[in-house]
Amino acid sequence: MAVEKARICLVNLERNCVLESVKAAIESGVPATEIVLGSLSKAMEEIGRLYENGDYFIAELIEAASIFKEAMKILEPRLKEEASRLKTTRRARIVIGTVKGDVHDIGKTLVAIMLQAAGHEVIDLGVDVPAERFVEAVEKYHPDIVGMSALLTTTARYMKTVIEELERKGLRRSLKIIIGGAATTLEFAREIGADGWAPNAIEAVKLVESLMGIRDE
Amino acid sequence: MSEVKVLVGDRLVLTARVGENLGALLARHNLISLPCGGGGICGLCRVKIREGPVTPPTKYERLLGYTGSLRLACQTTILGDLRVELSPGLPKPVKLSTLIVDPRRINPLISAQGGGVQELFGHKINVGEDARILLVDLGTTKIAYQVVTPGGDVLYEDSVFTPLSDFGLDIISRLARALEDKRARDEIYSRLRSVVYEISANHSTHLILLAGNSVMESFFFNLDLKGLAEYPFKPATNEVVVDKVGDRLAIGAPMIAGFLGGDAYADLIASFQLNIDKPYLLIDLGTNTEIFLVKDEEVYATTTPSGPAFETGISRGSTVFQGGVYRARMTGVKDEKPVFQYSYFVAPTGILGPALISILADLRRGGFIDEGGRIVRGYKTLNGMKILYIDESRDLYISQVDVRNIQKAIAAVKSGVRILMREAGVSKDSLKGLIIAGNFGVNLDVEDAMTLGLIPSVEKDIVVATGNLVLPGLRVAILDREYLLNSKTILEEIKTVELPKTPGYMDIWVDSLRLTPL
Repeated sequence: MAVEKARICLVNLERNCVLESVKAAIESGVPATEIVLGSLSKAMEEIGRLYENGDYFIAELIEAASIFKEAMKILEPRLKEEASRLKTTRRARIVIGTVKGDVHDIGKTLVAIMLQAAGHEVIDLGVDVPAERFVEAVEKYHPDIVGMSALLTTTARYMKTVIEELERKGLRRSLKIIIGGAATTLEFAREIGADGWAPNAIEAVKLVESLMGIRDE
Repeated sequence: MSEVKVLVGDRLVLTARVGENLGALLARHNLISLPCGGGGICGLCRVKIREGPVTPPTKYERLLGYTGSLRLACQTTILGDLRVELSPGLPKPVKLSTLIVDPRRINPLISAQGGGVQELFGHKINVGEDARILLVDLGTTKIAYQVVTPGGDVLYEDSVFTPLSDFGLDIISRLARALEDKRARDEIYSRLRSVVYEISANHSTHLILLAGNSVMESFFFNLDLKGLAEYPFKPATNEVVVDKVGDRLAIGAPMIAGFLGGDAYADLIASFQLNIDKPYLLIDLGTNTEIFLVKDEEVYATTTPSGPAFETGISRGSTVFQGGVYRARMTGVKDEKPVFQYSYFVAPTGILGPALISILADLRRGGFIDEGGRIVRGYKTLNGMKILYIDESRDLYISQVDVRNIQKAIAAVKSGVRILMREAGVSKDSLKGLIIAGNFGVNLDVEDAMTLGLIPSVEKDIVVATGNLVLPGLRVAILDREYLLNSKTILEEIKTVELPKTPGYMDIWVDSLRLTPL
């Protein structure tokens, strides 16, 4: 069973095995949609669980996301050919950045990597991003979600400024805003009027999908 | 009630009142802990009363057999001048004056001869025959100080806890509070001032020389804080700060850049006196770790947040790491599980930073944890989490998530060192010295730290662990006034490296998570 093999190999981070199994599955006529949903996505969920109990760590997450991405490249033409269920399942478009005054990159980049691996479209604005640039990006890309990150208590306050600026421009209502980073908490997210908060990259993916109504949580 | 002196060990003198509880006094100075809250039940605050009057043993002490010179501090009331010794196995008081620094006594900041009125930074100070200077290391959690003569002789030393714990335990939280609320800021300022003023008044010092991290020092001198709140993290000034605390002249060591404050400057100039060949690496391990790479013509510097994992151990919603084991060694394997021998103080309920490093290094060498930090054998599973027991009978263990947290703390330092060496163009093999400053470093097993890559693997005979280098650095400035009068020259040699802005930082950080030698 190539589909099952792809899942197991992805959980074990065996890149060649994943890619070969995916190709073999396609050749034996398995729909690409089924490979993604029945195998690769399940593997990513399993990897998420392994990360949360500490069995896997950051390097493993990055590696898994990278293998997933490569496998998706093989699958994408097929997905387009198939009237794929994936096309009807809404994927999110997310504008993400570390807020002004803060240059910490790692947490935000990890979130971006994991979101992309889960099939979402991510526009990464980088670090030290002022409110105006968030506004510009929202006007330009019309994302479903804006994600903000901050490591420092002092810079986390700036998230409120960004939210206020989006409100002022009348852009807030069509958006969900999520935040994360060492300086933030769920309470803080509520206080500044964000729609959600996640403690790590794995939870961030779950949060995005629950806000998009993709998950029944 | 009259004041008495309590001599702890050979040289640490504490001031106490007659009728004061000895345990409370020692705990207040961070010399012992009171695990059962002074109830006389656990028997772990025992001390040796060498000399002096105290109350007779209580029923708890009689029960536990501490009726001779060994007593429970929490059950003992001070009745006069005492000489006490901390129980063997307890960590020693911080030896602030354990100096290997041998300063050039050439050009003192204030002249010891003649006394009288001298001018310093445009202020006239009246120096008597017995001039005294107060040196203050204004730390985030602790304020350590020394009273010294103009010749640098230490007359007295002690430390007190920060008066700011209700404003947050880390500097960034305090900074946020101060920026949001002017009253908080004023309160922080006046509390710090009064603590330092009181110490200065008690010891009749004529001059205060102070160093802290950029945030604490800026609080103390009421400098503009905005620059520290966000990138590019600039202290209000890079010059020596001159101010009055009441009627006393107070001088602040120059802040270098970002979170490299006057304390880092003091570290650096102290290291200059160690007569170590260049290039050398200076690492001050703490909640925030400062790293210097000192070459012949220039100095590279950076800071990195290494988190609380080193100073207080780690705790992820458990009570496992609440202080205790300070040394540990794996002595064998039984039933395929690691067996540890360990020493503790107070109670073996937790593991302290240096022991944590040794445990992790042994587990790594023994193959219980792989290079990526994953626990691979000898473990039990508790609520879905792998744990490795240090002592199962005492429920002492290290969990998989704990290992992850230590990995992040190590990676912060390791990636900092790697990038600094890269930027400076200095390879590990060309290092002539490695100085580990900070109290955590004193108890650190160098080989274990090298196994995990916390410090670079160099010949052990070029490694020096100095303990607190901030106060020695301030002493150096007292003895050689150039360090304060001409600080600009030194600052110009320092190139600060901002890790998050360095190309490839994330890749290096992720790679540094691996528990491999550097």
